[in-house]
Amino acid sequence: MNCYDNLLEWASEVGSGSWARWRDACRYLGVDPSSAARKLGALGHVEFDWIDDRFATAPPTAVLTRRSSGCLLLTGARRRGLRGKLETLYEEGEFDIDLRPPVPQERGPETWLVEAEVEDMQRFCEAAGFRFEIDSGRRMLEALPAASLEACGEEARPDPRFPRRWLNPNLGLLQANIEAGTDGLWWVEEYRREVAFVRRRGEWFRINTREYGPYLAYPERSFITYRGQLAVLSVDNQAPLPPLIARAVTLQSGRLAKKDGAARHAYVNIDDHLVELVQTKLDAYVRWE
Amino acid sequence: MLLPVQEEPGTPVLLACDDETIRTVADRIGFDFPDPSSQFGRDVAIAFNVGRRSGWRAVTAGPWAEAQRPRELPAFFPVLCLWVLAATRMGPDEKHPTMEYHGRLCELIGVPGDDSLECFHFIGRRFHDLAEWLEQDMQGRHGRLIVPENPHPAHVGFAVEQTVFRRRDRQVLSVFFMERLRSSLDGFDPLRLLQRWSGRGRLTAHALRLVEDSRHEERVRAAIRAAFAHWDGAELVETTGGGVGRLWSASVRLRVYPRPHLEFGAANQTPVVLTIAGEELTLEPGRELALPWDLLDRATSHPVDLGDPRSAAGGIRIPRLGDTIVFESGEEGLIRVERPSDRTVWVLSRNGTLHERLRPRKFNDGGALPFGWELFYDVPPDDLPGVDHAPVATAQQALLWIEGGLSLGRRRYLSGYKPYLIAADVEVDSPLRVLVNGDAYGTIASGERLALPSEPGRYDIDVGDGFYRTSYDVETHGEPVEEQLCHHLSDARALRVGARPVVVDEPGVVTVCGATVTPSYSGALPVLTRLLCDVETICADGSLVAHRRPPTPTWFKEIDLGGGSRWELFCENPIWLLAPLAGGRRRARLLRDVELRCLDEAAARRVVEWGEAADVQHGATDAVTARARWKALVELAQQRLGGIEAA
Repeated sequence: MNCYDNLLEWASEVGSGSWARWRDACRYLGVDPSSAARKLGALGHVEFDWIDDRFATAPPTAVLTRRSSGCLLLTGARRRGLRGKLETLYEEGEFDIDLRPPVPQERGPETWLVEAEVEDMQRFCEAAGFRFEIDSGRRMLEALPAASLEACGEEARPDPRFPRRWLNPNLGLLQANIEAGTDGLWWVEEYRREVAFVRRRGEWFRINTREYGPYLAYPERSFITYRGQLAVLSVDNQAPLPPLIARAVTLQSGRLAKKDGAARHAYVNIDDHLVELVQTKLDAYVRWE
Repeated sequence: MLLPVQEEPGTPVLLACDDETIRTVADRIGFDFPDPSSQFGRDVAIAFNVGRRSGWRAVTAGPWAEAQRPRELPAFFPVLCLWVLAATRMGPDEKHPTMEYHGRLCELIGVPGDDSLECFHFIGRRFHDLAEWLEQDMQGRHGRLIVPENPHPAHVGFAVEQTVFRRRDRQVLSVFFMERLRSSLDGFDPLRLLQRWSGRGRLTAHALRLVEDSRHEERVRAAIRAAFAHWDGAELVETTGGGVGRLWSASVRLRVYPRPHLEFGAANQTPVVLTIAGEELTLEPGRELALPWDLLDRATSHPVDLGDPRSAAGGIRIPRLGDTIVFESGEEGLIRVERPSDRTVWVLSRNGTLHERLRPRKFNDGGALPFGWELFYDVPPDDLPGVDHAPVATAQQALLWIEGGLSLGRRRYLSGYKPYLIAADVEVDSPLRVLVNGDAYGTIASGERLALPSEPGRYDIDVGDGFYRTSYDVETHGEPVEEQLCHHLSDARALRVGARPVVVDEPGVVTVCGATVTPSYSGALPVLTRLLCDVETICADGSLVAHRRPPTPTWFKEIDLGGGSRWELFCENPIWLLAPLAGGRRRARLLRDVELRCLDEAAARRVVEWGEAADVQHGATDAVTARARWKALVELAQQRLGGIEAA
């Protein structure tokens, strides 16, 4: 178990709490609170309410995912003793399942997989206290509204009390010394977290789900590349996927995006149909290789 | 306010009523009068008909002892406050000798002379009555009043013993509170804290004697607690006329946009009127005013006071800022700090050497800054000579506190994760002894941290023999607070608000919580197979569906899923799985025990092609039934093809 497993265990034992408590726990465990929130959110373990600054663990859920050899990905809350309970169920042999050994990941909690016969999946989930879901990543992506400035933004000017930086789309750099009237994406360093603002033709829009910012500000730029043969979706670090889209693609494997060269990260087990959905829901220009 | 509810019933308390208390009470009730203490004295005199002839007779009247329990606050309570107030004024002044009490009391009630008024000797009885009321009627919730057995001087001693700190001491205490206590006394012994404070020498000789005399510990503790409870956060200062004024320490903020400038605000609770550059301005509570650049130049070498400290609202003190001002991100923007805790800060400086060193991080101020000043961003504090890095943000700094561990709630931690005892500058020469549940555990000195036990149990911590006390519990499990946060994808604002604590269970509404999508999945479950070749299925509607086996996904290696992995067949209601084996027999597997009544042409041709030589595998039923079903299927296929050819 690494610090992300510890964080998930703690979050599951408290159930829910304020962002301040999350931040304190992360600080104690030596992980960045925002990064940990992004990762545990992408894996479907924890939800965050950025309006009330709260977190809550999601119910334990087993997701049957495509091209996973019929594995259930176990996500949601992981209270102390849950692994032991699963091992007991496995050893009792009442279900035709194979509880796979936990698969560690460097910057996230272990991936827990159960290979099961289709007929036994539902029964096993009920006995283990998990909700049974099928291909939920794809389904959430299908139901997600498509991004647009109207759907994601609200007219608001940046708070002048906080410093801000402009994303230079050509260099892929955030720059502080830029004239404040420049159109594009601005990161405003508010106290709790950085907030995205898009300035378009002199009008300011606050993008509450900030990850949409780069895609809305620079729709002509491709931040995403799909390598179909490897089923890998590669994303520019300057434009991480918005939380629900990131979750939809992460739940295809239960593995967090990995470093892909110096400035990108990549998700695995992504099929063509899912990429088309990402492209549509993000209104993004995806390069297919 | 004078006798607040105590955390521990029966905590020793004093009736600590002085000019500062009266002023604070007047503020809270909106009593706008230049000298609220004198007005209070006169009001008490009128209410109790106090005069040279009547004396304090009315204070002795009334059926107090016989009244039904629990009794209301005693009617004579304001008189006790007044008697104590007079005692707090006993100090050297131009009118009275230090020990003169009655002259000061008469002055407060507006009666000429300095003699004791009649019936004053009831003071002892009335203090005992108040003590009894607190103990019995209030059951000690508001504390236990310290009343002397043998007061000195006789009678007056009852009031004098309620006082520890005089007017001058309150000024010193306000600095003590600002420097050492900030917002809470929680866990600390206030007396030990004061005894260790380097500024205590500025207290009056009377107060200092009491602070250092162990026989008065209980009384002094009660007095410090009372003074802290009445402290509003301002520094009390001596004014030119000899009175007491108040100054609110300003916090200075940097605003970068649209052009860099400075602002200041303070914790003032009422509007403060200031004159800056000849212009009268009002600093409203919770608001900021622009800090002109010429004031910045003045504040580099010494604090700058603005407004009138003698006014009811007080004045503002801009602290000494120095040649290099450091700002770090806080809830209100970029706030000036002396010891930053962030990894990077903004710096406003007129230090030429520093300008050279920080040149790559210079902010383009567009000529907004005054001559000689430059602004820099993303500066690591380590690059700033003479600036210390603080382990925690300024607002959170205390002397000793418990930090870390994984908290399950107030003073409750999850087992296996050690909390730490942290010491800031505790102003001691030798490390403080730390006891855990009464046993020696370790020591801690300024700037250190000490790992505390994390095995399940309850732990009482004592630092420095009572200087700081606290306790915590360690538990193996929490009590999770159920709270469901959902993305409401059918909402027009779905992409703006994210997850919210709203559970919507309406038809057609899609919500997401973690990996759970509502409404539930209603499609077919896939069929999984380990076959290494392409296969076909015959479905319930008689159609033949071809399935191409995909290559083994590359990510399987990452999760250690080997060659025997399965792949999915997606089709509606598959009944038969047909697997042509290279070099072997053709295998037909019955997936569901269903007798087919129709077949499309492709399916019929495939079944006839395979015929009865196929290796029929039971899946959903026994071998005999499976074989019979295949035989029936072959017959159905032959009929179907016969019909096609006849047609």
